[in-house]
Amino acid sequence: MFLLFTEQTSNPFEGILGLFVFLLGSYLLLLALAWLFSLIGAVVPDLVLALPALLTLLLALSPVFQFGSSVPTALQIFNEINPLSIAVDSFYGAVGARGEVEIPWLFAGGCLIFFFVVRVGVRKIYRELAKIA
Amino acid sequence: MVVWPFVQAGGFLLAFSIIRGGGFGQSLLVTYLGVLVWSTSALVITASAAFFAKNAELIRHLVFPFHLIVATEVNVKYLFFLVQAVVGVVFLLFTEQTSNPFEGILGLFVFLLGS
Repeated sequence: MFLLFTEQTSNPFEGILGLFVFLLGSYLLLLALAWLFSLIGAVVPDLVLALPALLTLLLALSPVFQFGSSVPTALQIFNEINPLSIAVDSFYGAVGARGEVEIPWLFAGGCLIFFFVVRVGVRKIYRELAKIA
Repeated sequence: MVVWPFVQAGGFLLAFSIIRGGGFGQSLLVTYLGVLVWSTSALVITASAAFFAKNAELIRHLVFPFHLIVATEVNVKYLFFLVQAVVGVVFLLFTEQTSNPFEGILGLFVFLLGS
């Protein structure tokens, strides 16, 4: 992989580091989202029925399929605040799929903060929620 | 269940590729990897939302750090994502290097088999 990165970019360390930073950040994001949605699912149990359809719709609007200059401004703003869209964008940046290789420091930093905030909340709320669930 | 993102990503890719009329080159692989990231996250979110409904009785009666169960489920799904993503990225990098990425992958496999 390192050899292949040398072909793609002048600084292969950047490519490897970018991918590693993305993978670390995405793991923390997934863990935090899992904890958060386990709590939301306890409060709103019917959410489980709506989520697959909603997430599929959001995928169609995400940067995976909507990219370039032709995307409406409202959709661009929405994708900038949607954590899953940010993850996809960071992945593309990390592997240089749509332009230059970019190390997703901001993404990983944001995920780290999000992870610790959710972690603290989960410890306090889990058992309390279980009593009323 | 854990290979579902792989199947889902392939299905979405096929559907959107037909609708958009895109080619079958590097852009298809880039889209596939994006869908893989998305569908893994979607699977984790959907599975976690049903966590309390599935384990409510256990949580009420047992003293146990239940957030670890969620973490274990995420670990398994992430591991499967990681394997697929690394293979995809290697393939993507081959497409950058050569006009025929299949040739590069095949060459690597033949060498590994031979060695």
